[in-house]
Amino acid sequence: MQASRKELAQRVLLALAVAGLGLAVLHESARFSALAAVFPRVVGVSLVILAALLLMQSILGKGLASGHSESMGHFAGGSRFRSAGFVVVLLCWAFLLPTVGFIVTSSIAFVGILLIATERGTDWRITAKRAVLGLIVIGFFYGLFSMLLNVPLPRGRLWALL
Amino acid sequence: MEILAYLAAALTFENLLYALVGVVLGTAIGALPGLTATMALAVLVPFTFTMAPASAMIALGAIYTGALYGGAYSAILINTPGTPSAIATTFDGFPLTRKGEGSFAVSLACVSSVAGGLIGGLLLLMLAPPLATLALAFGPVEYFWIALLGLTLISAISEGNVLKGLIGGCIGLLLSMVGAAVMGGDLRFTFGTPHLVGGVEMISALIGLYCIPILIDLVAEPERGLFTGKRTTHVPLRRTLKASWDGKVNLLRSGAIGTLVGALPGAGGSIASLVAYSEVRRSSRQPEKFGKGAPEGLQATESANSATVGGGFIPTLVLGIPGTPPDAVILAAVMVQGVRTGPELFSSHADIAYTFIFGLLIATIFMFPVGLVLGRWAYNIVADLPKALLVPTVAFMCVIGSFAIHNNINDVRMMVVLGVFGWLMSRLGFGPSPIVLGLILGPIAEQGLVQGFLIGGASGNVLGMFFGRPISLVIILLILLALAYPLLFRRSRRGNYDASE
Amino acid sequence: MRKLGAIAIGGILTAAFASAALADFPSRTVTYVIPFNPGGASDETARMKESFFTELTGQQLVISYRPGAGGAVGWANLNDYAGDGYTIMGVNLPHIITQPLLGGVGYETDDIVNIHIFHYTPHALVVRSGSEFETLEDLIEVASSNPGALTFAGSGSHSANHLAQQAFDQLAGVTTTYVPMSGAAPAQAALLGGHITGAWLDTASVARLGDQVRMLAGAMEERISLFPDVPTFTELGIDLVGGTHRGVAVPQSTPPELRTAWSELIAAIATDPEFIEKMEAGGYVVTNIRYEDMDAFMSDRIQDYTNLLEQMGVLN
Repeated sequence: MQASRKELAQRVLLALAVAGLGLAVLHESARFSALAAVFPRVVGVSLVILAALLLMQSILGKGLASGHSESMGHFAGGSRFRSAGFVVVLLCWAFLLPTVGFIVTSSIAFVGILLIATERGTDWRITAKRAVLGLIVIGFFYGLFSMLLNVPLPRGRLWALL
Repeated sequence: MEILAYLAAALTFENLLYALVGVVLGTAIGALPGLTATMALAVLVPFTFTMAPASAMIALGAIYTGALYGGAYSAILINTPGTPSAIATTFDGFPLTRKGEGSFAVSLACVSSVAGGLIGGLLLLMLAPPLATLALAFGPVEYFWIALLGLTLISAISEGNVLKGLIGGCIGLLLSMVGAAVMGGDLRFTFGTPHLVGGVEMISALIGLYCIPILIDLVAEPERGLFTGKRTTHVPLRRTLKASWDGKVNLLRSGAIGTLVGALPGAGGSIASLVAYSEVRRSSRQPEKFGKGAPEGLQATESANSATVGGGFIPTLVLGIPGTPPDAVILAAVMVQGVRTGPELFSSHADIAYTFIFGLLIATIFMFPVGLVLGRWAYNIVADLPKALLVPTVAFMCVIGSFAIHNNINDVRMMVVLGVFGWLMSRLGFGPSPIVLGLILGPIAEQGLVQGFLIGGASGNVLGMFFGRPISLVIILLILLALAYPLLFRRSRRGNYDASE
Repeated sequence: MRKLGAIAIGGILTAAFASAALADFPSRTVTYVIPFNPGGASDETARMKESFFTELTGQQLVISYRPGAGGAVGWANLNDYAGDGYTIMGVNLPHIITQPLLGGVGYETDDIVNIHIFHYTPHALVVRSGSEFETLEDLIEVASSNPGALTFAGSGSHSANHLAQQAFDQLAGVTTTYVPMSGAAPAQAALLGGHITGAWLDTASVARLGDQVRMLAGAMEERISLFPDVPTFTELGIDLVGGTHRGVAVPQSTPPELRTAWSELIAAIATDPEFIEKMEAGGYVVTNIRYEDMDAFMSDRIQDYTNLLEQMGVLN
């Protein structure tokens, strides 16, 4: 039952985190006006109660809490590095967008994600072809959005300085 | 027979052309996550200034109808609801895609949308004034109870662990409170940064919470594709029609729910499909199939979804109160053309009003061929793309789409941050749907609750306000039924086990 | 002397050059940013200008949206746009005064260069047509004997509607309950459904509701053509005049001659009889507050709204 002890510790931690969140919400809502405080208090109290129930469930019940509620877990496993790389690229993309501009960040990020997601043993020529295809897609949508749909996609502050 | 004259007026070559082009454009725009019906309309409004008012309304109504349906493509094929009204479409649509039934799901969504759109349109044509009166009977308290009814879906979709579902729901409610409060005007949970004053943008949250976790998992597995089943090569028309005929009661009921809930100004659009989904699930003999690719779930949400178009126009045309945000854009466009809208539209401009309603019905019928063709096209693109190309393309669509909602870079950042947060949460066993339900229904619940207190307090009868009104009591009954049903169901199943032992 | 003459000539030349440059301004498409969602009054009145603008200048006016936090997201970003005269943004009062006063929105009232205000929608106190209240006097009588019992819906807290309700309560010496709603549409629905006593709306939204509602009084200076029988508050002895003003602002980096040019351009549209007729049919009251009068107008408003918010006790 070693594994289940570890699991128990995790669940207790989770319950404490939820309770902490609820208390933080209650604390924060103390400075709201009367009208704005009603709902956060309801939610804060609910979170504390749910945390207590979660704690009871993890101590008393076994196995009740396992199993993913939605079909999210199918791809669990696989390479953590690829996932981490993807997340890093996404974050850089979103945070550098206004400075470096839409076309440049999108092109680099697209190729980066393409490389991360490429199946093992894929011929580099295929990858190159895909990268070119991706750049065409980016160009197409840039034109579509900025010209036809009036979406002012950022050009990049960096280029204005040069 | 005057009505037939209006029908003839709608059936000119020009109007038919506008309806067809409108549906195609709307579907194409709606299929891109982040491009909403409201935006499609706002962009295309200037093109209608040169048209006659009735034709302009037909074109705009067709774009609206198409855009709502187009949202089903991204919901079904890449688990990305482009609008709040499409979230329930992902519940069963995406699992169907996973099983290799994406083509069937898209066609089924098309037929269901046409059915729902026709129901909404016909009810608008025939019963608009009484339905508008009924919609007005819903006050703040009823909105509160309806939001709670929507929240009961949490317990239904998280059968594995209801507690975690409820916690997820509370997190969604918290996210919905970020920013300037409608009630009281306080800045809540903004941590002192002006970037959060606008709150969590709903659509970027939808894109982030639903789509990004799928992409993160997909990247990790370099060998496997999005679909586990075999890819279908043709449009399974016969099977689609059979499933639609078998589900006719469901389609009718969901369409009626969609029309009525869609007629509630302000709140209707995003809740209608949720209410329809929870109703079909509750009344099903096999509720455990839902969320795992049940065609009935998809039919219910898409039928209700499209029925909100007709439903939303009920208060718009009868009362002069826009039922949904796209209705407001259409109203403003017609105003700019110099046509006074509001209750007078039906009496003094009956020609425009009725020609428009017929135009809407014609556009809905056009959606059948257009939807099948475009849907097959969309399916083929997603199914044919190698995974290495699919992931960056979808990520790109997420980024450009969440920027385009409000032309705001913060929405992109919010999308990415919530996406990573959603992925971490799913590792802990928290699905995205409870969070999203909290986020969508939170404002409606909060406003209804506080407004109910204020109005009840002013009359000195808060309890009577919440529990003493007939419509409220009906909704409370539905809530109790929805909550009790899983318990009853579980007991009866246990009973079966006992019998077999 | 010669030097002075040179300066004078230089000055004339610059002025001539500037006006020559302005003569063909605008020479390309102008982006008109609306910090609200499409479909609202700000969008509608911006769109009304489109065709007149094109007629006047031969250029397109392209409307783009940057909604969020009741307009604050757009205004906080106004000065990031290029000040070349080709980007203008819609502004609304009291929003741009009350939001910075209440704080935390990322901009100050002074950051916004208002160049022209072209219309306003007066506050309107409205009841259902079936309501027991036939006149404002009826309503005040009941309100003063039952403090807090009458409920009035409006769009949001600390908004134009809320400020109107507060000002009315003070001026009429009554206490009513204000029920904030998430926008004009839900407030109108609650009104028509009879869930509240009345609502604080504006003349434009009342115009759309037709004879389903009765406007007891309006906060305009004089009666307006669309509602000839509706008295102003002033006529009834309550000194409430005001509403939501809508105008246009430019980024701070926009040079003065472009600011004046824009003010004149919009004034030219807003004095066109055809435009005025269209606006009035929609319940809008056209007014022209030009760039040169803006400072005086704004400082009066800032004074008024600061006082009102202070009396409400929401300023720290």
